[in-house]
Formats: sequence, structure tokens, C-alpha cells
Amino acid sequence: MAREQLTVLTEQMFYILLVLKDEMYGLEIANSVKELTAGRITLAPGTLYALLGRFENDGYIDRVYRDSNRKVYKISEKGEKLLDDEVLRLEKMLVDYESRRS
Amino acid sequence: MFAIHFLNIANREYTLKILREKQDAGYVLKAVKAGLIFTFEKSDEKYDYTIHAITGSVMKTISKGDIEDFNEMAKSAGWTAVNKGHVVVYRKPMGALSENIFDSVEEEKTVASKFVKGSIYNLIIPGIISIFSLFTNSLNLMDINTQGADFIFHLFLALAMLLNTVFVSCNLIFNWKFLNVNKTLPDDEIKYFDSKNLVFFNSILLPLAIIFMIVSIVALFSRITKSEYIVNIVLAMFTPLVFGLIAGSVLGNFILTNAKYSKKKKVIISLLALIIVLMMSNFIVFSMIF
Repeated sequence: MAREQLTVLTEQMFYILLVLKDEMYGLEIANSVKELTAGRITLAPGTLYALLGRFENDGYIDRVYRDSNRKVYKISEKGEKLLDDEVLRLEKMLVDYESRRS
Repeated sequence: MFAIHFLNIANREYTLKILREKQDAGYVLKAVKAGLIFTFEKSDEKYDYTIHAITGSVMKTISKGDIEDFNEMAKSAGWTAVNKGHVVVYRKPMGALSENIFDSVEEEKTVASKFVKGSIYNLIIPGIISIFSLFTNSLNLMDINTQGADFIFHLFLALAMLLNTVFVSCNLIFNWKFLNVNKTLPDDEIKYFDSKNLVFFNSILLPLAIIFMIVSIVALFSRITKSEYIVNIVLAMFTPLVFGLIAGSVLGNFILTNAKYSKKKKVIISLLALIIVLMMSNFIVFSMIF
């Protein structure tokens, strides 16, 4: 059975893809997300590696090779599109919210 | 002290129970070697333990660097890794604050289920090879011309393959049961097992199969070099050692560190076990050599 394509991202998914605009490995991703969100989002190791595996299988991130003993990742074109779609969705939600509130 | 125990994620609860019982008896886990040998040290410190599959696939390799990363992240969440591998035992000082290794049970369940599924695929090929080898070696044993080092080679290889087949079969059944039970549970619930029988089989069968394999290799070497006395010497040395190791492991696991036994009872049980081990090993050595 084909895996269901992602349409809505969780906060963790969103930030992992966002920081992967630069090449990073697991620990760098976790630290980067923590820094970017001022500690609001911390990624549990199990969750991070499970998501990286899923993103890689679905083609949202690519593995790049650096001279290290770790798997290094970078967002792919498909991942960029997913991230952009998510931002559009959030913007639309915000517009809807503002229109209701005013 | 040490205990031989196959580290299996599906049977997590029983492994945790063993660690708690050892702790009650004053022993803390020091290391897990090759996912099989648990070493303990005497200590007054108390720890909470947890065990997790850290990757959803045993088929894909996870680099040493990734495991180190994972464990470093777990450390910042309050959990220190005792071993490095696909299945990791973590510990933290008892009662210390910590965060979970997974953000949700659903994610933990996904990873554990994928890992167990991968383990099933990984077990099938060794299982088929074991059955095939058991069959061919048994046929050779029935041949009247199979004698001396030849006989010992086929006998020990057949025994090793028989044990390996049972080991693989009980793990296959157990992993399959884990998948089926968890499939029926809601997404946010996970059930690990606490099968004492599986632990017992895994603690005995795999190490014994490995040792039998070694003996059969020695016999093969002896057959090639045509010097059968090597086999006799190895048998005389190996057999008591094998039984001693097994008895030590079983005693370590189930009796010596169990807080409910008094000191007097432990001494009596140990002595009885020692006598039985010596009698059995001597009987086997003499019946094989003469």
C-alpha cells in the first residue's frame, strides 16, 4: 500500500524541513531547531530520526555526502514545495482568522 | 558478574524486570556486549531503565556517528546509553527528571513495529539455512561410514543447527505476535512482552549453538589435518566450560540475584547446580572420547 502523502506538517516536521535548507546531520538539526525556536521546540531523538527516515523515503530530503561518519541531509525540491505549500496554508488560515476577527 | 540474555525489543518488559531485580540485589548494569552479554557491577546507586529500538529498520545500516548522535540527544533528554546498537538500553539516576526518547507513543510504536518487521525478514534466511544444514548433517550422521572426527563434526553442526532453528523459530513467533497484538491496539498504545520462556530459550540456545559451531569447526580442522586427538582435547576442555558458562548464566539470571532467596538457599542451589554440571559434563566427555 502506498504511503499517504503529507499535506499538513506538524511543528516538528516544519522546523526540520526549514533548517535543512542548510546541510546538517541529526544533532545539528536538533540544536538548530532548538536555537531557532528559542527552546520552544525540542526534538526527541526517536522522533527526529523517525521523521528523517520518513522524509528521505518520501523524497522530501536528500542525503548528501560529507566527509563524516554521519548521515547528512538537505531539503530536496519536493521538500521545498511541501514547505512552501505549508506556509501558504498557514497564511491563508491567518487571513481567515483576521477576516473573522475584524 | 554477567548474564547472557538476547536483547530483543519485543520482550522489553522482561528485560527491564531482570534489570530491576538485579538492582534490588545490589547490581547495576555496566554494559551490554554484542546485544547478548549483560555485565553488572555491585553498586548502591539506583537507576531507572528504558529500552528502545532507535531505528525503524534493521535492513538499513545506521552509522556509528548517527548512533552517537542519537545517544547524545538522549543524554540531553536525561538518558544515558549503556550500549551502542539498533536496540539500546538507557538509564538515568532513579527519580531524576527526563524527557521521553520519543515525542509520542504513536511514533515509538511505528519505529518499534518497523524494527520488529525488519527482524523477521532478517531471521528468515538464517532459519532456512539452519533447517537445510540440520537436514544434511542428520543424513550424514545416519551414514555408517561417518566415524571419528567426521562424526563429531556432523554431530555438533547438527546440534548447533537444531538449536539455531529453535532459537530462530521462537523469535519469529514472538516478533510476529508482537506485530499482531500491537496492530489491534489503538495508535497511541503499545504493548511490549514479558515472556520468561523466551528469555530462557534465548539465553541458552544461541550461546550454546555458537559453542557447538566452534567445536564442529575444530572437528573439521581435525578431519583435514587427520589428527583426531585435537578433537578429544577440545571436547575435554570445552564441555565442562560450556556447561559451567550456561549454569553460571542461568544462576546469575534466575537465582543468585533474586532477592527472595535467602543466602543459605542460594548456597545450596549453587552447590547442587555445580554437582549436576560436573556430572553432566564428565559424562558427555567420557562418552564422546571413549
